[in-house]
Amino acid sequence: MAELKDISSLDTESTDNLQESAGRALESLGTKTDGLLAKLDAILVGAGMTQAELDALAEAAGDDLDALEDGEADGGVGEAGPARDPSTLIMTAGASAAAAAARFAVRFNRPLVNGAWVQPRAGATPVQLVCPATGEGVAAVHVCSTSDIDDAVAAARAALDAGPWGSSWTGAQRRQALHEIANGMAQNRDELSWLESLAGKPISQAAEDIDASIECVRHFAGFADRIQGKYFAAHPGFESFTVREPVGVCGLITSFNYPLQCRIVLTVWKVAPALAAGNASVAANTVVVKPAHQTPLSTLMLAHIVSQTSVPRGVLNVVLGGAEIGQHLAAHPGLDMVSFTGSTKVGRLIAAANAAVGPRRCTLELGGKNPIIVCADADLDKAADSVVNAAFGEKRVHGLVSKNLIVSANMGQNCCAGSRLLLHRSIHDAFMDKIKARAARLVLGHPQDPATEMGPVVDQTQFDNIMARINEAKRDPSIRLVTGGERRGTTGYFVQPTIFADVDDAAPLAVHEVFGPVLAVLKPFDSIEEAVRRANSSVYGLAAGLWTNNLRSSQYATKHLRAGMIWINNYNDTPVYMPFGGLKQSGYGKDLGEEALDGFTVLKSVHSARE
Amino acid sequence: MAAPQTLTNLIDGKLVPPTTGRYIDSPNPAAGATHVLVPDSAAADVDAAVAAAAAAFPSWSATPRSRRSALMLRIADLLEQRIEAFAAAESRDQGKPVKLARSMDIPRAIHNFRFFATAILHQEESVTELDGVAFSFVHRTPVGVAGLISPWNLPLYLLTWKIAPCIAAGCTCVCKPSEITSLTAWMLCEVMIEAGLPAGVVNMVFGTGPAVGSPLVAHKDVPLISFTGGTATGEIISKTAAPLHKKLSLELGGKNANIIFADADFEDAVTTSLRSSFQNQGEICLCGSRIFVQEEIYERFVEEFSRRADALVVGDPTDPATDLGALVSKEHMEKVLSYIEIAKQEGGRIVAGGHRVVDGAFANGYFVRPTVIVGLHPTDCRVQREEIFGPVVTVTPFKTDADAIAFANSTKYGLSASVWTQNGQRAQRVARQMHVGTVWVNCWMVRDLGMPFGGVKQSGLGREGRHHSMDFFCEEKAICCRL
Repeated sequence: MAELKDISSLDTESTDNLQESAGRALESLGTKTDGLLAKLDAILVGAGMTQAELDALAEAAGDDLDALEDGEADGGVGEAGPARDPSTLIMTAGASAAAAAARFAVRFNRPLVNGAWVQPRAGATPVQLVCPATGEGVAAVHVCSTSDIDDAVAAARAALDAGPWGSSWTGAQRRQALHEIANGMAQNRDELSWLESLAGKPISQAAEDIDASIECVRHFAGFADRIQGKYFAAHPGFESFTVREPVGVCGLITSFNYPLQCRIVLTVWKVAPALAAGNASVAANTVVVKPAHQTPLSTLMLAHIVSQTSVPRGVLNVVLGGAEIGQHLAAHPGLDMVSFTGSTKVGRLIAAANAAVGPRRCTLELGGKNPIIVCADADLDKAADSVVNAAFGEKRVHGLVSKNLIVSANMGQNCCAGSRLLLHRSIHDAFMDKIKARAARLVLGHPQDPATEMGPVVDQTQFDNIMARINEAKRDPSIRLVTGGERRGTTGYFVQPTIFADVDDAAPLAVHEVFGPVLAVLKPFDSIEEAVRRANSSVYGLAAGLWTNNLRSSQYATKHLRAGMIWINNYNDTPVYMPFGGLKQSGYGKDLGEEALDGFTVLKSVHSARE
Repeated sequence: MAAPQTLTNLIDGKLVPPTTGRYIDSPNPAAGATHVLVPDSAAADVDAAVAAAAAAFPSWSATPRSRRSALMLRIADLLEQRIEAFAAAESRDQGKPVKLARSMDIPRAIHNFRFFATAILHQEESVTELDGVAFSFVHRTPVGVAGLISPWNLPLYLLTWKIAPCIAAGCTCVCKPSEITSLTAWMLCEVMIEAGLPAGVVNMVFGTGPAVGSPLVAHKDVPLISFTGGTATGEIISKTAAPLHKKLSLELGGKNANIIFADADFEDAVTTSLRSSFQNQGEICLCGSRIFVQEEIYERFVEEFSRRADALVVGDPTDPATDLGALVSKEHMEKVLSYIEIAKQEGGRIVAGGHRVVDGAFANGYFVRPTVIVGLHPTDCRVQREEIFGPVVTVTPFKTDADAIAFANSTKYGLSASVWTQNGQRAQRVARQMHVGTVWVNCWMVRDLGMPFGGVKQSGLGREGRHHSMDFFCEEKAICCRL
């Protein structure tokens, strides 16, 4: 009954919020309640309930549904009424998941090459995608053969060399096309969110991701008709200038062993600047995208949306498959560059595969073991909210973050998750109390329940890896388990938000990227210099967080932290105008910002003598 | 005492006497006796200088940047070799301690040349392609002959702050340094000749504002006027130049606030505030002449600050122990002393200094003790509103952030401000609300030449700095070529 305890600890406002969201979902469901309770069974089993609990709750849910359909739900919105029976809350939340399931189905499950969905080869067995909350199959996906990759690269090349996109399209047309894509994404926001949630991401956070993706596309649309070179008047005898041109056919790979991280947002981070970067009289980029094999559905939906716009066929191709397909693409001689987001380990393989057919351009956005430093003078409540969000993922906090955000750490499965916490000695214990309480309040649940703050991790492999790291830390007598540390329920890949304290800087938990909801609180620090030095003692350098109101501390940390992104008094906000990318083993090259265009363009220098 | 040194104008690469044959006595402010005879030039000299600058412009503006850069670096090297002579001359001519001239004025003059000499190597414009229709290039073209008018407080420092970007950009110029402090400008003429700067690129006409400045500002062949000095003179220049549609850059006066919050690093704030109040005898437009201190630490600050102001050494500018030298002229000293009297009439209490120094060797010099005034209304009195430009500072308590911001913004000036706090949020919040051109947080007069520099309100017009000076001395032209 762990779930029930968690939910009964919610305050009145939270329970009202739950009712509100469930009510909204049910309204959208309309009268389609047939078979609802049967679907609820599966969902609640996924949340770790026993059959006896299920039966009791199902009955309550039936009553509740009736009540809602009679119009009671309308009155629940925003009213501070008495808290309702927790079991009812679970049921209504589950109902909303079923509501979403009733509205959508997986429509696209095959590679898209040259504007056509690829026919499965005779005798090929589709791969089952499994819901990490229930273990049930959600879709069968047809993966590629290596010859499909060759076809995709050839189609991208043809679209570049022979098609209108590469030969006659203007920057203004590309700008318009990107806006069409953004419009299509906005129109299909709910379906995209739902597809994202199938792989475990809570649907409310997935919707925020879609919004961020749309903003990203619109941002890069603005660059499409103003790709600039430079003009140098250095010498009166010469005209000297540079022309920025598209690099050509781009292979965009999101991790094949690091699931979930590389979802639609990160795909869009690459697709948008790639398609924006062009030079009207010469060419524009075309792309072959390979999403992670566990999370291809939203990318396929994106491909469908693109296919409904004016973008010519072959400009965007999507290939599907696992490591073998990823490596075949990375090593394909027909590409002009490879951009990869995923783990450092796979990044090395990609770079090597790319180099084997190169020299050729490659950008890598890899792993992180990101530190968050909390100084004694920080606003501790805001910092605690943020740290919990950074480590485990939950809903947006305090309105600190702007609209263009990836606010959720996605159960820690996020390259910029805050996984190492450094606390000033004077606030260490008080701060631990705060984050422990907040972690315990997090609502674990089905990803399609709008109230869910933490979903399951993506698959068995990832689940096993995370639990192995947790168990390793538990066996270390010097490390103290503060909260969590166990699986949640018996079905699905739910891991409790887990906090370890007194972790030595050199302990495996402090060194290795866990990529799960596990926060290592290191031993306390006494000075900002010490905190920064210890924060930097990692092979990674993706991001770092700092909480302080002290000017000197923030300036010292800004100057001395070795990370590609420094967040001060906020975390995980990635505005589209800021370049994002790591140092050290976290990779090279930048997503987002005008600098993202650097990866997708080449420079030509023109030096012309006058007379 | 040595006989006075006679200066000459620099016109078309030659050192020539003024057509008037007249000279102005320029006293050494520490001794009160004439040490330099400054040409009392007239419109005819200005005409000759402008003609030389105009003649040099086509070839100089077409000189490769690399060549312009190399010449400027050569000027900087020669200045550096003669730093002792320049520092001694600046101190003797202006009254400032020689250690200040050696550590600030002359090194900064050298840096001005080196900074712009190398910055132009990286100057770049944009080229865009319009949808397969046309390539568009941005050409940056130097405007022409500039009139550069510089003040007496940081003579070589501020003169070179204008000459360096001007000639780096490809413009030529006619300079009019202050007639009170012309010595190092004249020494610079020799350096520029020796460095091989082509004749006519920089011309120097010495003399007074009415006799030289006015014809220069009004000259039909001078489309650019850059002036640093008093707000009243700036107004006269504006009235002349504006109807002629000249580009104008004006860096004028200030009455800068120095806000010290209770959470500031106290020692750091006191030490730097002593500098920002009294460096160069308070004769710097950036001096923080109004100190506002949060009431929790006000008494402690006044006590410590006035104690340390009283300990500052006023004396012989050539003595390395000296903190404050002489004020630049008798007239200026009298103006400063008159404000101390006004402060008393306005209810102010003098807690340090407050008088001229006339002991023994100083009897004929223009020395004033560093003066700290408390007890004045925070905004509604002349001493809190008018620029004194001397070693006189007011210290006033405040309660809230809003009070400090309101006090700071209450004058007609808006050049700079300092904010002292350890709280990053407060620093940002208060800095954003300062209505000035530059805000220093926990420091003062740290100058990054890449940053825009200039004032708002009556403190001036336009900005100087790496990009901003180039924008002033150049025009941009769009060249659109059909593909």
